[in-house]
Amino acid sequence: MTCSVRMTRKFADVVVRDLRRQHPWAFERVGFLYCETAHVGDHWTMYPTHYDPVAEERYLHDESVGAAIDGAAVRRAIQRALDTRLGTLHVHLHSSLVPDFGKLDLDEQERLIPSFIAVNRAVPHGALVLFDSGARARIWCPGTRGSQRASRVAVVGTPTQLSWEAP
Amino acid sequence: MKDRYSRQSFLGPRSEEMLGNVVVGVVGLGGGGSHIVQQLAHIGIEKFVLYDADKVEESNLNRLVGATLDDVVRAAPKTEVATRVIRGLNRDAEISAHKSRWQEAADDLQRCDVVFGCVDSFSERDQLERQCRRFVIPYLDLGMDIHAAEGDAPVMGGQIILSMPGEACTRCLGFITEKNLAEEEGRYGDAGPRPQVVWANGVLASTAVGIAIELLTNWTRRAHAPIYLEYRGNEHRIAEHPRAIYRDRAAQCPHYPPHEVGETRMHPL
Repeated sequence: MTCSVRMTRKFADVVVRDLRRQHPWAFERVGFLYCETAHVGDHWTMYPTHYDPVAEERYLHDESVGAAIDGAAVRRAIQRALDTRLGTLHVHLHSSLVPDFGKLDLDEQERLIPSFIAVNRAVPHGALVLFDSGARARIWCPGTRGSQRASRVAVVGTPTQLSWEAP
Repeated sequence: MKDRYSRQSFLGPRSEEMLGNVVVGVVGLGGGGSHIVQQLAHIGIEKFVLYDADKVEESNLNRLVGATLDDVVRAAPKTEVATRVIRGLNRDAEISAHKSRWQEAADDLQRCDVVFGCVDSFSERDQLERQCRRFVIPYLDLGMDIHAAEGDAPVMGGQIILSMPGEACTRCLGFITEKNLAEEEGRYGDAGPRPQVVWANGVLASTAVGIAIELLTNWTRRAHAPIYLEYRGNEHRIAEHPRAIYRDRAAQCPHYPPHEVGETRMHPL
């Protein structure tokens, strides 16, 4: 099973612009993308179409991490995944100096993403990190154990930006 | 950077890797499409999804790049000619060639990063653009025609349109309309062979390839969409179409809402 993410630049720009806003106390912002999907052979593609930022007051005062959000924010995101039957991507930004997920990101995803899978096993869920020169995604596909790296993340527009994993 | 690409290093330090990873779809491998696959193979594209249901006929030899007399005798599929042209430049290219209409193997089109449409009718263009929009793929449409003008010289025209997901589509630009779809349907079976010539196909194909490479590498740092160029063959000119110049730039495309992507599915009420 392989997977990829495709979104328009117009959509990605809205997400990036929102995530770049300074938060009163958290070091960074996070959000959730809800995605239409397509499944051909052994490949899933996720198409983010809706963006939900995490509300200002849902960030915890925790200086040990870039951003920590409370249970209500997570429950809201899970509820939306359940209601819409869409795939979900947790999203945040990195600088181009750190063009990938960090260890803390990976650990947190292991705890967070199974909750989305539990409410809708029919579509993929995962996490996306965007940076100036590209993007990376980690996806849990239906019917497979554990996660995998998206083989490709495409931001489609002018210009079109493709990020791919080395085979 | 490999020596074969040293003369195009201005495309950027990562351009070779980028172009080698891009998946390009070409629908229609006749006059326009045959130029396009040749140029893409030269420039370093390595992954192709090709569609054409036709075989090479003698009347194709005035313009079909790579086709030979032997292909006519053997009635070789146009996909075979395109594959041979690509393989002659890159033995390791990954080519998924469909000897069919694209609608019969539509799933394969979904994995493309850009699609060139070199098809003959408004209806085919409409369907292809619809598919590209649904799977968030930039669509480059090109075509030419020659109109007879009584008592005057024939008028050669054509178009290159970049339909970018999230931006204005060919309907927004007034190229595809219900009127021309209906007129075409009314002429069904009565169109006769369309005039085509190699130099006009070459101009249109080269321009479309240039737009795609700009889109993927941003080497000009001015990539933009939509693009609607008109070809005035009698004047040997390409110019921005007035409909592109005077369109309402703030208007959202009403024909392809942003959420209508991916597989079609039932929404819970």
